[in-house]
Amino acid sequence: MYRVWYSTESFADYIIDHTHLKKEKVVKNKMYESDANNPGKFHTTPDHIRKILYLDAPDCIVEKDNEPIFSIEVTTEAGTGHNAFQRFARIAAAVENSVPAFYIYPEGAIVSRKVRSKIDYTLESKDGKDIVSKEKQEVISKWDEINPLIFRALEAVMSVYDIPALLYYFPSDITKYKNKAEKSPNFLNKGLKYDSDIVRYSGCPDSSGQSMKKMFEALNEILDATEKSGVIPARKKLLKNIKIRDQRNFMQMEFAKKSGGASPDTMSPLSAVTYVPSEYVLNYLSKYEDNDYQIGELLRSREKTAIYQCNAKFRGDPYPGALAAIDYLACREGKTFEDRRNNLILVFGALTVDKKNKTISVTDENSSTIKDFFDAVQSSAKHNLLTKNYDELKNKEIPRYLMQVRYGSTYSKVKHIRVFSYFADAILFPDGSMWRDG
Amino acid sequence: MREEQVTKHILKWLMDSGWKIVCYDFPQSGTGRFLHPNGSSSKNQDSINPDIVAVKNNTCVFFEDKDRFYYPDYQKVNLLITENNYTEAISELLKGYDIKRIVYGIGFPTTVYSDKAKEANGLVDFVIGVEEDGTINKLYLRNEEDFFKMA
Repeated sequence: MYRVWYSTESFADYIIDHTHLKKEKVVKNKMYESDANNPGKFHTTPDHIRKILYLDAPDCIVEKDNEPIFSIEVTTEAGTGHNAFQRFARIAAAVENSVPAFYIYPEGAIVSRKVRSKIDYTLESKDGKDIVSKEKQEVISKWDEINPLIFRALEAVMSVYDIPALLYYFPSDITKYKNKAEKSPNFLNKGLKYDSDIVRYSGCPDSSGQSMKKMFEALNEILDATEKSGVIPARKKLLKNIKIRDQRNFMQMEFAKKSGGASPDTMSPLSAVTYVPSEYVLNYLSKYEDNDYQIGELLRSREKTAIYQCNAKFRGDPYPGALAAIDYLACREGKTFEDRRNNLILVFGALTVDKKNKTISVTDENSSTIKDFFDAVQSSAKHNLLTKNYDELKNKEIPRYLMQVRYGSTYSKVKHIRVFSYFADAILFPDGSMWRDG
Repeated sequence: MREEQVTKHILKWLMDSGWKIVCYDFPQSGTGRFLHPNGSSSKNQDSINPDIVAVKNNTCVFFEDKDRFYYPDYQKVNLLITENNYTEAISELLKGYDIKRIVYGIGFPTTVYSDKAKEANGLVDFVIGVEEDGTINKLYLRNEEDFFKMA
């Protein structure tokens, strides 16, 4: 039996109705993102689904006989800069659990911005000509295009896990109206094409679009292979499948075409990464060492450290997804964070590298403080049932209590805390630091 | 019944009755249109995101939908009726349509139309109730000759 876990039922119906799932017996279930977001419901989610949701929740997971077959994430946001990676942790979470991941993302989305420009007018007067300057405000609409580095990041995930992580474009008018965004027939929808059946498939991509047809074909390949060989044997052969290879090749060509030869290091978020010898980081952290304590082996075991600088007040999106992507782009060589070529450090603050003294410094320019991190962690305490006695628990809280006994606050922390603490070997603030010893 | 289902049932009813949907939104649909206050420069501060905007002939309807009775929604709708804080954004949204009248109201499950909800009727132009099977109930209309005669 197939089960479809969804964030919106429209999207579940969209996938079921446009793939071979429509011939199968399918049960639909609403997906709850975390114990932090849905304390009353999350604990009812099966364990094998919870593992995928640990970092972040995709829009849809399809499973057969309690084994996930694929996950799908869809977004309508313009994918410039860091934005393309905002949902990357969801993709990583699926693939790290050996579940093929599909990412529906616009090739571009129309954004209208107010722009001030100075215009010079020539006025004729009896004394001659005068030049008068006037400021004009106008709205300019253009396509904000996808950051091509997303294709590299997905390729890196596939290389590490041998599991498909494929991107398909959300249908749009960009091909025909690239240089005339304001003429896009779907201008009110940022140039994006939604399915014409807005009642059954509200908010879903146009199913007649070429990219969606290709995605449905790929999903059918997975479903057919699953029916023929079983979920796990089918999964192992997916990257050999021609339709999946075709999409992987397409993604590589899109990276080459859209990057125009630019180095990946110049693209967000890699452009915010500084590489230093790990010795510099250890020297910086040496202030926390004393006679009783030395920084552990993990940071020392890698020669180089990649430092992701977020010179901003502590917050979540888009940084968690970007951090996950940097891991795969610049550090990861295997299936866990222990299999890294380089350490991965997250800095909230302004980073300065001091080559003379072989160290780094982190200063505050935008109200970055470790207190915000601790406040976010402590705010999850309100979901903690473990301090209660048995007679204080309501009946409906008992299964949730048991989940927390097993997993602690794993699922009760807010998303960005979960993702940062999962991916970062260290997190540095101007007024405090945290790091992994092993 | 979730808000998503309330909105989808009302969408179907409007479309079956010949209304053109300008925009719609429900949690996680990704389709919402933010309407900014007149003269606003901030990105989304004080913006509103109507759940359904539809047009038919010269009339436009704005829906605020919920899965329950929620008094702040009534207050929000009332501000749209009585103030002119979003006229620029609404004009931009309805550009291309010849609109002579806009009516603003609420959609929710019929089962939550309590006495408390009835007391708030005066704040809005209409209240539409939705049943699980999609049956639509016109629970309150400020003006009987209003757009529902066309629906």
